[in-house]
Amino acid sequence: MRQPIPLRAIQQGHPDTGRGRDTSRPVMLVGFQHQGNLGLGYLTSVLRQCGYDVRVVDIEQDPEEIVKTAREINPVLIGFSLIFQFYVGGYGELVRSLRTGGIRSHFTMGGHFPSLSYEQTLEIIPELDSVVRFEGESTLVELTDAVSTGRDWHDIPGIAFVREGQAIATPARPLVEDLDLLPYPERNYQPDAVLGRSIMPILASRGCARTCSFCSIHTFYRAAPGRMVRTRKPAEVVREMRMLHEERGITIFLFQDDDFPLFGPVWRRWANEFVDELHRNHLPGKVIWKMNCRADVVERELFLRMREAGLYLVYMGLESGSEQGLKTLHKQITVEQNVRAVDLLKSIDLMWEYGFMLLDPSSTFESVRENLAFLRTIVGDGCLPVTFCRMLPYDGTPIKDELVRSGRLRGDVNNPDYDFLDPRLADFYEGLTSVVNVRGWIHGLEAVTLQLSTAWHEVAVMGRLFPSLPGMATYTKTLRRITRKSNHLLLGIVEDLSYTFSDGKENPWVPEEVEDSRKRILEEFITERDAFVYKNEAILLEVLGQPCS
Amino acid sequence: MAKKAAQKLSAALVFRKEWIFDPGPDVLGLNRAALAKVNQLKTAFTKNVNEVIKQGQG
Repeated sequence: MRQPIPLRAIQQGHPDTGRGRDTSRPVMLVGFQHQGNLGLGYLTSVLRQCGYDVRVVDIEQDPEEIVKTAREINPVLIGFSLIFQFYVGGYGELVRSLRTGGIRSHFTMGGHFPSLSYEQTLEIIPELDSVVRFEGESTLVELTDAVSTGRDWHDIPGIAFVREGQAIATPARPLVEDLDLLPYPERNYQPDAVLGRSIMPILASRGCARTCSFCSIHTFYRAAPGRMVRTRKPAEVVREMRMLHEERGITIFLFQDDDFPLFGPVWRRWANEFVDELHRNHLPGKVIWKMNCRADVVERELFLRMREAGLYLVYMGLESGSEQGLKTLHKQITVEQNVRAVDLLKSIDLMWEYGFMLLDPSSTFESVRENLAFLRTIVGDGCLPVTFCRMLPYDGTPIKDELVRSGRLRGDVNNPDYDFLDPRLADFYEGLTSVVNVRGWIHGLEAVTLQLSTAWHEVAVMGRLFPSLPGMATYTKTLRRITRKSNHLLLGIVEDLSYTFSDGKENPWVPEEVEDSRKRILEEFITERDAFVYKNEAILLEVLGQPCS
Repeated sequence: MAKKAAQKLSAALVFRKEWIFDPGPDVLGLNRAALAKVNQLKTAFTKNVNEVIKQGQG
């Protein structure tokens, strides 16, 4: 068996791993590009350090354009980054378009789903030559080296492929031990911006030590050898932030860590060192940052320190307001802890957002109402919009395995689903989606939740990166009133419908009227928002160094 | 005031709802390109219907 390429060799831009490399043809990487794709960014950097020309292509482009690009550049290898399981069908269509379009490059795919379910991936997309499993930096370089020089690649660690109708996986490659040996991810794109302030994603760590039953992150990291959670050195993270701030004008950093390092004394020390480094580099006041964590790590002293060092937004996966739901989801947290975390963040005036699953495989009408009561407790005041989803059983998650065991798994890999214990809940969910356009209200670009969330993000950005704006208190109060109205309406609809399906009470909601209400809320919000920003345009533009229109 | 505000806002300050957009599973299982095409067709359809109505009323 070949030894993996030492990561240090990649980091140092080692021109050759001793087995040959032909960099005359480029590599094409295809993936979702919204908010930047750090996974593809790291792969691109590593490949470029090895001398390969890399073309990154957005999966959202017209497939014909992608085929055209592939024809033009004739890549030696095309790597597909699948970050959402439900896109596997769409990726399959693209891969087939490329093959039927005459592209003969080596096709490989990486991501959580292909890593954990390589047999299904290779079955659904038989046009793939291989799958790169788990962290792909070293494996992709070794695979590209072999393919570019025409060598046999089937014994490279960390891949899977089909041979004589059988899916075969080579031994998993160890996870990257020292993340600071990786080059900075390629970010050769125009960053997103909010109120003229540029945004970049960044990583401080990889992996998650928790064991939530609906999540495949921990199973992804557990399945490969090596430490499950690895943190970068705080000084290295801050060095990257400072470089991006000074060279690219980035002022908003979105930490995309699976779980920002805050859990336990070691990582709390890490967080404190990170804060110290930010101060040492004089970044607080110039940049702000968002991170994802669990509610049980929220504590006053540390979060106040982080807030002073630029933390402006905390995402928490609260997931359930029912003790049974939290147990089913194996959150290892209580409803009280969730509420306490929210209260604490409110008390220190730190913006937050949350993930929430109204329905899970253990749901009953009682738990749905507990969840609604919980949502009223945390956002009934209009501090944020109500949001929720239905838990879906993705591959690689313990809860999917349990649903298989109990014979309740339904749907397919593109649309995984399950039977509720109480079949009336399925009717309730269907009723809910027909009365409330769930995508229109909760998900999608036109959703009330999305737009009000964005408005609250703007408020946080205005408060932290701009001077005091006249009328800010009134605008915030208005936004809170609109959000409260929207929340009250949505929670009322869901609750009434729950009684319609559990107790046969008459459904008082007409879909068209609900939709009209949704549109009116959005119109009122955007009118107020634009009027406030327009009134303060001169101040905002002056800070941005732009002339007033 | 509101319409004027929306029309005159500097490009940097226009409300950008997409910047924190979190793509969720689509109920129809459509890819983003297909969704974009469907939305285009819906918009065009509405426009055409409105045009027909307008002409009919004229």
